[in-house]
Amino acid sequence: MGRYLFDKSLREIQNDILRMGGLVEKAIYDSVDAFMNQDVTAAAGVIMGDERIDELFTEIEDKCIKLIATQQPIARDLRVAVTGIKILTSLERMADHSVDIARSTMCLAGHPMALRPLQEIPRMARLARQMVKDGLDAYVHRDVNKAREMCAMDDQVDFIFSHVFRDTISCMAEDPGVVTQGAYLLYVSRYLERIADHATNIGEAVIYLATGERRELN
Amino acid sequence: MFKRFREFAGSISWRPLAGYFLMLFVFYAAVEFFAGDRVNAWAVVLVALPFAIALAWILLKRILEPLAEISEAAREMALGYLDREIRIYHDDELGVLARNINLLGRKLRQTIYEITEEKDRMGAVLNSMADGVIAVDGDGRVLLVNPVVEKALNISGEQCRGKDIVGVIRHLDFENSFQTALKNQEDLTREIQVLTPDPRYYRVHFTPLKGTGRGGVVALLRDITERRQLDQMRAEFIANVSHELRTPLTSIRGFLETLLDGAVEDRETALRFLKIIDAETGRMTGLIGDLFSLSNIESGRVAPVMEEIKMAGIIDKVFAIFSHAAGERDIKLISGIPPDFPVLTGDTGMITRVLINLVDNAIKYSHDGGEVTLSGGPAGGGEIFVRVSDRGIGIPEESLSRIFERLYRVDKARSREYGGSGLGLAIVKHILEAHHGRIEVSSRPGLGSTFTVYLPVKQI
Ligand SMILES: Nc1ncnc2c1ncn2[C@@H]1O[C@H](COP(=O)(O)OP(=O)(O)OP(=O)(O)O)[C@@H](O)[C@H]1O
Ligand SMILES: [Mg+2]
Repeated sequence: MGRYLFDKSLREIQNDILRMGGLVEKAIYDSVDAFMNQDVTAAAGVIMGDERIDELFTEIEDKCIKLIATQQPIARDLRVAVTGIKILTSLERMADHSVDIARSTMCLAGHPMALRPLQEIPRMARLARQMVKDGLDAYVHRDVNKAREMCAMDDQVDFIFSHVFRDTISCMAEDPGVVTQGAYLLYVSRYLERIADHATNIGEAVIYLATGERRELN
Repeated sequence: MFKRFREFAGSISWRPLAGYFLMLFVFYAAVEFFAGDRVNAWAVVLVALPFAIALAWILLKRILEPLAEISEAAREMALGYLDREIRIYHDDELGVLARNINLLGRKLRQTIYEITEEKDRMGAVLNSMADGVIAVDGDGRVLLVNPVVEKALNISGEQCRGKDIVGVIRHLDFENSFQTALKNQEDLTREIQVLTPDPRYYRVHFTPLKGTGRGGVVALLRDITERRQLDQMRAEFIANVSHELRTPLTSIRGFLETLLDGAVEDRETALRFLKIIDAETGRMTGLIGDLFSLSNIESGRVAPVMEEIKMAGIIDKVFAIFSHAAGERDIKLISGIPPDFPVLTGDTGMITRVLINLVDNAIKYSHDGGEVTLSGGPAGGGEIFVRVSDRGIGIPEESLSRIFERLYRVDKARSREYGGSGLGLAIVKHILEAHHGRIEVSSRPGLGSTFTVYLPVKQI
């Protein structure tokens, strides 16, 4: 395989990753939306949609591994291939967390959620989605600045998470009747916090890809 | 054959020919001059040297210098400095070359100017379009995106050029539709949701590029998010109205059937049922009345009757209406309207209605023993303000923008308990719009809410 074909398959892999990224972005949005509206059907849709994401994941991962095994790329090329796998893995984990959120919605069906900290969830979800979007955009354009800015948003998410955590605990302490709701709310905020963490992994991968630096940003 | 020779001969100008003959003649003269004698090497050098120098001089002046100038000019042109003109040239072959190069430069300059102008015009059209444009070539690489797309997706067009389409819009439907349009060479329209990261809805029209070498597709994106929201609101509204009407109707029918089944014989029960039916009918009438006045104001069918309004009088009336209800729940009504509150023009009935609705809400959504305060005064800019604040349950932030929608209620159960239908604030908003005024709200959940009405003193 010549240089041209090698570049072409790298490009194809990147496009596949972006396609999967689009699906994951949507899964995150849909799962939180379903949770906020207590829409069990939409939640089921997210869970079913995850199969497609998983398929794509193994497919792209195979492609990456095959490329590394047969072409034995070195230096920058190796970095590109390895970053691809990293981003892919982060995306797959995010999709799994969306499924977790959708499951919580299903479990909560019939228990209207009315806890005070609930109103923080959309804000948190929006930040997390913004991070995923910026991370993938930074990947497309190898935009180190965007990746850095995106990673900085993780602090905000963490802050809201700790806030929601404390608030929910005190709600549950006040009224044991809301313990179930509270527990699911804690789960969902935790999943969102994890999604944001995985987004920073994408940012780090982009920085590594563009500069060769390896750095922990969260 | 002969013709070819004529052409060839015609292309040779007289100068080189003359030069050639001149040189032959000089050579011949030199040989003749030394003929017979022993050829003296020094003499040959003596004769040849000036010739050589003269020739070199001519070569330099006539050929090398102009050539250098021409080649420099060509290089500069290649670098893009098309203004460069070759000025020094003689009337010979090189001169012709120089003139042609000047001509080439001028032509290029003009063509580039025309192309740039065309491109600027195209750019201006693309920039001023309200719709988004993404042009993609036959290989699926982005050729251009216009500012609408740059803004909507928060990307820079410069960065996108040459990227694959998935790099710009990560959306499988978008990519697939694009491929279909390219393959079938026909137009295609799709509605897609783009996460930016907030969801926006676009109606995308794909048109294959015809007549260009490598083909491609232009996608036109129209933002239909607002329209979708409106459609959704309308559908929700109809569903809500039906629901609101069905609830009392079901109970009315239930009681009527029981009455018909014989309960009418028992005077006491019958009376109790009729009272319930009366109350339910009242609720329905109220709802329909509200809906009606809302649509009247909204459509402008009922225009406000402008007259002088005395705010103090209106507030006395409103407090009189609510003193009983407020007293029952131990809620204090406090008026902080100064006595010198400006007289303004407006429809007294409508403005009274605004305050009734606001005070009604403030009491309804207060805790027992709460406080409802009215204040007001000039707001600057020819406006006055009237403010209704309470220390009630407050409104969550995400609902703040929605409470003025018809039939929107934060907590459906609680509002219905008070017989609220969620039309009050919608009516308020429309009355104020008819008066060229506006309303603002601020609220902290658990601490209370403040609604501020702004009205122009003079109606134009
Ligand atoms: N002062 C307030 N404090 C807290 N919530 C309020 C206040 N005013 C309005 N709201 C919220 O805004 C919603 C819309 O108010 P609106 O006056 O339009 O409807 P309503 O009071 O429920 O019914 P209606 O006024 O038609 O009888 C209310 O249901 C309530 O949730
Ligand atoms: Mg009201």
